[in-house]
Amino acid sequence: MTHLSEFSTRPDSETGRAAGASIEFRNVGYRYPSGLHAIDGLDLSIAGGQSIGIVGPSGCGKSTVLSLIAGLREAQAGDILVRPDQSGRHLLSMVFQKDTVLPWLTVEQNVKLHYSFKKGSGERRRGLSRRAIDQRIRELIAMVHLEGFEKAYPYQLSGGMRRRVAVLTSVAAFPQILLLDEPFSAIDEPSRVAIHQDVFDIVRELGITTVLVTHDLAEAASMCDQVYIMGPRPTSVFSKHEIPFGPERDMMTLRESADFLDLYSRLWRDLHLQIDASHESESTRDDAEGSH
Amino acid sequence: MATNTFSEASPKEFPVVNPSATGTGRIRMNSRSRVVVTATQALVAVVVLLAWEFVPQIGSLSQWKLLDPYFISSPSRVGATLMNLLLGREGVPAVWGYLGPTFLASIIGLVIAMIVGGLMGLLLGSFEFAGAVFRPFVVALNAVPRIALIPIVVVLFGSGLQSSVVIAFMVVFFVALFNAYEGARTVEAHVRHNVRLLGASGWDLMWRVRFPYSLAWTLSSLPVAVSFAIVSVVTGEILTGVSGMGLLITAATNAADTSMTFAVIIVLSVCALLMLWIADAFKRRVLHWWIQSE
Repeated sequence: MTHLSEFSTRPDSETGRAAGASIEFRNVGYRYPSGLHAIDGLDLSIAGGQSIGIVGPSGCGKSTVLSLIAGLREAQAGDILVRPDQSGRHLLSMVFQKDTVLPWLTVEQNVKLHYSFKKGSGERRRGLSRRAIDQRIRELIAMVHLEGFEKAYPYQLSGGMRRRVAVLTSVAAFPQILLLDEPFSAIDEPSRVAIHQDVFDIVRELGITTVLVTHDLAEAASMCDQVYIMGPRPTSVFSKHEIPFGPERDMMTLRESADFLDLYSRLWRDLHLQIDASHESESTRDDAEGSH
Repeated sequence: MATNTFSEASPKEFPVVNPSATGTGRIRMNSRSRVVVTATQALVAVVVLLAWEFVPQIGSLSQWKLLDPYFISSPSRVGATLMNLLLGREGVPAVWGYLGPTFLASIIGLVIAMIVGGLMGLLLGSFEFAGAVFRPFVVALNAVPRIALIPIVVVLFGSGLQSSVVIAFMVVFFVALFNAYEGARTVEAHVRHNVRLLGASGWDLMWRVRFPYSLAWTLSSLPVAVSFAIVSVVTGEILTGVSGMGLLITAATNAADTSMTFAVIIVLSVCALLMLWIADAFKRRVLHWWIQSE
């Protein structure tokens, strides 16, 4: 794995471990403007530098959890605490499910987008020269195999490459928190596993606190430290699973191991229960509506 | 005639051009079928010209008004008049002195209207409140038949270049405004959220994200805007009858000189095609990212 030069997350002096921002949800409730109850009594605790996966039946409000962390929505009940670390790095960026690459900018310009904004150019005031940032970004581009495409426009790239650019644009801000909203669902499986490895390595290297929302259990199991299985809407945590694979993972071989398959089946069992529960709650809702 | 052409652009169907719909415009073909298509097109043109020239000469067909060369002229007469018009000979004035004011007024009006309309559309599309407040006014103003305002413009600005420019501006302004507005307004939420989370200010969002989309939409309306500009300027000139191609058309029509009318129309068409071609080349250069991603 390539190591990023000059990058440090300023290790916590006591633990010696990369700090990373922590996130805590306490009894959080959220209703959409339409009145639909999305989240009820949600408790989450994400330590700095951890990666957690959120999986649940479709439409249960997983993505809403990310919007709440990002501040794109505001919870009506409970508390959401986002504690930045001491690094002074950009607090948060997000990779969206839909394409966010700006088509009139080259790959390089897209990836450096954060630094082209006044707020982002403040990085330099925090002691990193433009050259150091450029160097770091070049390394990132190399890590995700986009070398030689720096000057290419998004329309000249394949779907998988565009996705890499989108992920890199968010990562290149070197955020304390990275939110991933089903970012790889549109990519074929082999490319997906390769991107998992890229993103996993970068996130570990930089000590970024990561929240991944996905439909793909294998994705969550291979990329995260903990996986939360969510219940049907209004959603809250149904079960929490520790992922035992540690920081050195090879995504390609991981999927062949018995441990992985065992973990997968345990995750699946819980998810299956929740999918059934979500169908049940839908049909009782339909019955209730039908009886009017 | 001019009024007819103009009413094609009635406010009801004001052209908010979705650039993604007009992006490439051309149907891709292999080179062989392209040759066949071009040859067939040339054949159609030749057949029409030959029919126009010779069908009225068959028997007594020319007694029928629609086939009487006095009313419909003929390609050879139009050709001869066109040459006289271009060279300014045989008592026919050279076209350039008439074409100049029309062309100049169209371009100045077009450019100013695209810039001012585009910027105002961007502002309305960027500020939700401003957009909500002003949208009904803009729609109402756009619904005004602007051709009817030309006399007022003439009273206000006289009958020279200035008033022609104002007329072109009036017509193109709303085309640019609506397209820029749509372009700025319809930037998708996830794109906006993404750049905001990456540290973009409201100003960044407007100029760095909404502006390129606005520009794409506005430039995509350029072909429509070019024809609008020319048509409105010529219409103004027909109404005032003081200068420009409109004056030539009025004079020819008054003298029942159909060959001259057709010759003037040909010059105008070539001019419009030239402007469209330049506009298209400009668009392709600036919007390669938009056109290619279709």
